[in-house]
Amino acid sequence: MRRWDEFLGHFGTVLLFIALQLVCLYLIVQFNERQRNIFNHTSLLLSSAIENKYQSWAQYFHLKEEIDEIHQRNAELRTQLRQLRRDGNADVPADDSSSTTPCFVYHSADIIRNQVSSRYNHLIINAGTDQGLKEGMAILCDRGIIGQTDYCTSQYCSVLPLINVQSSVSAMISGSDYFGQLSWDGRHLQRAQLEGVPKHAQFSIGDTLVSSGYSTVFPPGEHIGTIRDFTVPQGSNFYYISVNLFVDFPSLRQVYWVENKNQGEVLSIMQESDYGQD
Amino acid sequence: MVRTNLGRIVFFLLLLLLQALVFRRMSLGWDGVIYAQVFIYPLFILSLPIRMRTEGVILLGFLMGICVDFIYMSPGVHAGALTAMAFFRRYVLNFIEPRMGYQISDLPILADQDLGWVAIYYAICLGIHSFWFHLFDLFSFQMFLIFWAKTIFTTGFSWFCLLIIQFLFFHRS
Repeated sequence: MRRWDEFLGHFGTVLLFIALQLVCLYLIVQFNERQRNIFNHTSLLLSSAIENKYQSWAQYFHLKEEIDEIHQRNAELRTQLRQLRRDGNADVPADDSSSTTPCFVYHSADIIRNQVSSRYNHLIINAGTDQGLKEGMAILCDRGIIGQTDYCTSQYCSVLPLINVQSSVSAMISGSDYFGQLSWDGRHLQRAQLEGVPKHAQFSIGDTLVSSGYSTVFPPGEHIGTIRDFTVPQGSNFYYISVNLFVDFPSLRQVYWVENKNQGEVLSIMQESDYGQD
Repeated sequence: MVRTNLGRIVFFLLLLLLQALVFRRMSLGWDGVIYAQVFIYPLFILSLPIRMRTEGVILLGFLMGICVDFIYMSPGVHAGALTAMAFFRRYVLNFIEPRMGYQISDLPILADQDLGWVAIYYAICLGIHSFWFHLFDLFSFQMFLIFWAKTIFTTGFSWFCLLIIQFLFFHRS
């Protein structure tokens, strides 16, 4: 009680003054037409400005959800696109076009750790065996191939990207049927090397490399990079091709992982034939 | 007249009457803009005892302002301005306090104080009143020059009239 008295003693006059001023302002805005118009105009300007700011902030905070949703939708569209291509293109072998289950199904995931500083780089994505991910599945982004899954837990998965000296991917020069093995020498984040293309193959600098489809991991026709330079080492029958990669690994945020529905079937055939050779 | 409570009530009504009937018609302006008006009603607040509590002064200022607002048909404008002047009066009085201090029974009028002190006291208080009045009257910061012109001219005009009233009615005989 005494504190309250002291407070009033110190600030009572100021509070009274402010209260009376507010009463006066209320009267002015309520009963004077000119001032009321000014007040309404100003408050409209202010409130719309605040509303605008708030909207843009709110949108900013919902951006993540929106991106996720778009990414999810994109994965579905890519699955459908691949299926349509397969159904409409008679050249694609070993396929019955009446089947409605897609061969390759795309799912979206986020990268939660991205290491690009060593020769043995790894990514970690937030999808795991609970979502259906297994070892040896393709990881892509909108620009092209990233790599393949390496080791999975129930919620997370480690990815072996193209920029790991242990990685090796079968790549084809788009427009021709020649293919080779793409590997990384550990020097430049945007450059990889393609070996195994025979000397008589015809191509030029700037041609696009795509995945060959000669593996059970990557869907055929996914982009990898463009040819930057090529040489034939002395005494060799194969080109040594330097490749500019499409994917900018340090800036990766979201990826697709691709499920190959026929993988088990193809693998069993390969095993059978291996046994046959032995 | 301003030394007793009854006298103050009469003074209050008299100032209202004078403001409504005489000084309301006095204004100076050109090009359709009124630059100077005469407000004598702040004299009531200016003449209250120096040692009166500020809360009382503020409430009386609000009362006087509301009455004037009924005359001018501008609810809130004069009341806000006179409340502000009543609030800041204490600080003005502290600021211009003579070296000897105030006498307990002193009133801030020409009969008790010298002319220089009264002139400064009126100028500062009327300046605050005029500033606040035009702030609430224009209610906008867009007419900056007009705002300051009105404030300064109104202050000067009112100040002049109040000093004349002091000379005529409150001078030591």
